[in-house]
Amino acid sequence: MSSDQYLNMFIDEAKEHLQHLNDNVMKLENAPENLELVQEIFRSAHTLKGMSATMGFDDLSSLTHEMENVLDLVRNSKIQMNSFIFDVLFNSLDILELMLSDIFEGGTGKADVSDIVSALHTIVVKNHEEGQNVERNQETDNTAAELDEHQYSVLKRSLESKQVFYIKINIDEGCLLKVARVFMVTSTLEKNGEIVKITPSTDDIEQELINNELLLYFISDVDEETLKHEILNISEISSIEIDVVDHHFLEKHFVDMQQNRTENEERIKPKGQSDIEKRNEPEKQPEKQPEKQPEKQPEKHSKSEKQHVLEKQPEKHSKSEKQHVLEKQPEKHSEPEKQHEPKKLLKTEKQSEPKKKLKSEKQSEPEKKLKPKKQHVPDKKSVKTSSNRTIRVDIDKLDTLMNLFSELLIDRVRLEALSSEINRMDLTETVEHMSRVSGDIQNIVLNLRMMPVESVFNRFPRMVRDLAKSLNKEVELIITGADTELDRNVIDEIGDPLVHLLRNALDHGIETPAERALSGKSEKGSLYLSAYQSGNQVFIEIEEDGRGINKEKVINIALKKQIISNEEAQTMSEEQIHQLIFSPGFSTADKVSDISGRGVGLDVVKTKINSLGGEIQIDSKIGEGTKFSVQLPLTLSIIPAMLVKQGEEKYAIPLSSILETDILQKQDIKIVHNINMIEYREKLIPILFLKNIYDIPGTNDPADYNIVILQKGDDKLAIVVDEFIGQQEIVLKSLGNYLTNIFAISGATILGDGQVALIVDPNALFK
Amino acid sequence: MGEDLKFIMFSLGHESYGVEVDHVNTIERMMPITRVPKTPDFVKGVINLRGSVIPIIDLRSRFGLEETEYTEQTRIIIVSIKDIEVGLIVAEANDVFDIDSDLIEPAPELVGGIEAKYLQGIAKLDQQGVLVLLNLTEVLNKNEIVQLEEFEV
Repeated sequence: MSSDQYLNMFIDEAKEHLQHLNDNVMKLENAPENLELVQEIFRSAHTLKGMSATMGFDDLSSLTHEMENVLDLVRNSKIQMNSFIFDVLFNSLDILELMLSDIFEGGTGKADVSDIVSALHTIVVKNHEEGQNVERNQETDNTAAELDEHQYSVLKRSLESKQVFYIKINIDEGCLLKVARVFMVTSTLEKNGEIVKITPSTDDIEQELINNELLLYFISDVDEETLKHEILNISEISSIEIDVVDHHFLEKHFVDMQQNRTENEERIKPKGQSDIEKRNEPEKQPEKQPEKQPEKQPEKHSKSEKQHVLEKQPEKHSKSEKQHVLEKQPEKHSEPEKQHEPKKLLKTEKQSEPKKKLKSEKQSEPEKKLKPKKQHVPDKKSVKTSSNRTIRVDIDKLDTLMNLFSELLIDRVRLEALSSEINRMDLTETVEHMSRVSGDIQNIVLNLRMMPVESVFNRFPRMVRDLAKSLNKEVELIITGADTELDRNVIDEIGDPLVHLLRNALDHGIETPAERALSGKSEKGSLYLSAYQSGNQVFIEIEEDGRGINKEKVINIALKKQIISNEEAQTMSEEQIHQLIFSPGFSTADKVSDISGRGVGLDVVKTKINSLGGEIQIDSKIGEGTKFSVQLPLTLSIIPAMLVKQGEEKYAIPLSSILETDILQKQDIKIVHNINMIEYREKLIPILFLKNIYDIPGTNDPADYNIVILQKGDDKLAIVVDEFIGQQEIVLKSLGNYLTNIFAISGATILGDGQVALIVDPNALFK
Repeated sequence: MGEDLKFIMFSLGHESYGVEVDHVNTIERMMPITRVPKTPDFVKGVINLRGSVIPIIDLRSRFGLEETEYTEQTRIIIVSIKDIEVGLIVAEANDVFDIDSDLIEPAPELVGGIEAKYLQGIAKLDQQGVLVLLNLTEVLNKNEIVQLEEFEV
C-alpha cells in the first residue's frame, strides 16, 4: 500500500501539531505552572509521534518520544520547567520542523537527532537523580515483592511458550550510581526479553531506595547463560543468580506473596496509603536497585515498571504499532496498565476487577490497551468537534473553482451587454437576477480562498522570543487582529516580508534594557503586530516603542551612498526620508549584525509588497518608536478596475491606483525639464500618453484630454487615454510563462466580449 | 525499424513541417489577438483560449521569414513544453503522421531559410516528400524574446 496518499494529510496535520506545540510551549514559558498546558503539549507531541511512526518517519517519532519523556515528568510534577528545558524543547521543535520540511520536499525526514535526544535524556536522568535525593529519606519498607494477579497470569501464560527466569542480581557494595547500574541492567534485559516484575519497585528504585540486590521476573527466548554473560558484562555487578521458573515455582511464590501482603498491610496501613498514592502517579523511573528485600518474593511487577524506567511515559505507547517498532518490544505494551493497579491490594475483589479488564484487552490487541488510550480519547474528541465544522480542500480545486467562476463572470458581463441591446423586459430582469446571484457566488468563492493571517502570525511569537533572547533584549509581542482574512495567495507571500520587518524592529528599533532604562522607558520593549481590514485593503502594522529612525543619519547615509543628491536632501519630506531605508544597499547599522541592518534587505521587503499590489509606509518619532504599515489588497484574483480605450485597444487600470479621472485642456500641459507636466492640486505632476507608453497606433489628437490620475505613495502622475469605458470587476489572468516581465503590464483579463485586455501596472510607470 | 513517432503535420507555405504530437494541445482556427506592447515582432499578442490567456507566435516571423497573409486555412497550433504554453500561427495544419524514427535524419544547416538549431531533423516520406521536424524547445526559447528598453518619460 502506498502511503503517498496520506503524505499530504500527514504533513498538514503534523504542521498543525507543531504549531500547536510551539504556541503552547511559548504559553507555558509564561506560565510554567500551568499543567493543563503541559497536558496539551504532551498530547500534541504524542499524536505527532504516532502519526510519524505510522508513516515510517522514525527519527521524527523517536525525537517526539524523547520529548514526551520529558513532558511526562513535567506533567507529573516530577520536574519543574526551567529555561534549559525550554530551550531544549524549542530546539527539538525546530528540528522537527526541519524534518517536516524535508519530508515535504520529498525527503525522508532523516536528521541527526542524537544531540537533542541526549539533551532530553539528560533532563530525564538528572531528574531521577534529583528525585532520589529528595525522596531518599522516605520510608522504604514496602519492599516485599509482590506479584499481582495480573503479573502472575502473564508469567503463567508465558511459561507455555517461553522461558521465565527468576533473576537475582547483586550490585557491588561500593557502587556509587546504583540507579544507573540498575538502569543498565534493565535495558540489557529489555533487549533480550520482557521484565515482568522488578523488586524493589520502580518507585523505590527511583527514590534510590535500593540496597544491593535486584530481583526480577523475566520472560525471554534467550538462554540462561547468555543472559548471565550479558549482565556480568556490566561493571559493578558482583553476582547474578538465574533460576528457571516453572509452574510450581510460580505458584509457590504467588501464594507466599499473597500471604505476605496481607500481613504487610496490616502492619503498615498508614504507610501503605502513601505508597499507593505514589504508585498511582503515572510512571516513575525506577533505576537504582532494590533495597532490602526481606522476603524473597520478587514480584512480577517488574515488567510494567521497568518499562517505565526505560520509557518513562507509558502513555506514549498508546500510539500504534510504530512505537513498537521503535522500542522493539511490543510485548511490553500489553501490560502497562498494571501500574495503575495499586500494587498493594489486599482484597481479592479489587484485584479481580482490574484483572478482568486487562485480560480482555490483552486478548484483543495489545497495543490498544495502554493507558495512553485514555488520555487520547478526550483529545480526539475535542479535535473532532472542532474539525467537524470544516473540511480540507485542495487549493488546486479552489483555483479551478475560481477559474470557472471567472468564466461565468465574463459571460455575465457579456449577457448584461446583450440584454441592454436587446432591451426586452423579461430578459433584462433575468439577467439582472443572474447578476445578483453571481455576485453573491463571487463573494463566497472569494471568501473560500480567504485565510486568517493567523496562519502567518502564529510563527512570530516563537521567532520574537528566540531573537530577543539572542539579542539580550526584553520584548513583549502583542498580536491583534490575527483573525483578519487575506487571500491565500497573499498569505503565502507575506510571511517573509513580515519576518524581515519584525527582525528589523527587534534588532534596530527596540533598545537594550539598559538603554531603555536610561531613557526612562520600561526595560521591556513592546512590539505590536496588528492586522485589520479597511475597505478592499488589509493593513498589517508592526509597531515598536524603540528608538525611532534617526533622520539625519538616514540622510547622511543616503548622501554618502549617492542615493539622493544634496538638493533632494533639502526638500525631502519626512515620509520620503523614511522611505530611503528601503533603497537597495541602504543600511544605518553602525556595525553589521547577522540579524538585520535597518535597510539591509528592506528593499526586498518593499519590492515584495509592491509585487503583491501593496504599499508600505513608515511612521517614526525619534525616541518614541517606529511603525511600519503594510497595506495589501484583499485578494489578487478579482479586482475592480477602470477600463480605458486607446485607439482600438482596451486596457484595464486597477482602481486601487487611481486617484481620480479628469478632463484636461491640451494647453494645460507644461514642459518642465523636457518633461510634460500638469498642475494638479497645486503641484506639478508628470503626464504620460498611454499611446506612447504602449506604442499604440492611431493619430487621434483631440483638444480635450481624458486623464487618469494615478498615485503610488506620495507620488502622482497623469495618463492620457482616448476614452473611458467604465469601471468593472476584472479577473486577473497571468500572461503565462512565455511572456514574462513585459514592461508596465501586470497581466491580462478577459472582457465580456471574449477579448483579452491587458492590465496596466501603474507601479512601473513611477520611477 | 525504429519506433514510430507521431507528428502533427503543418505547413508554413511551401514546406511541410512536423511537431511531436505529445506537445500539441489543440489546433484552433484563427481568432482575435490582443497585441502585447514591448514584445518582439513575432509575438503577435495573446488570445483568450476558453478562459486562458495564451501568447501567440507567428512561426514564419519567428524563423525570420517574410510574414504572409492569414487565410481561411490559417491555424493556431497550441503547443506546450514544460510550463510554457504558446500558440503557433501556421499556414495550414494537417493530419497526424507516424514516422519511423529510423527515417529521421539530422537537419542540414538551413532548411527553407530556417536555421538548423530550430530543427530536430528531417524525415523523408514517400508521399509528402520531405517533412521538417521542429525542435520546439529552441523555438520557444525565451532568451530570444529581447526585452526592449524601459519606457522613458
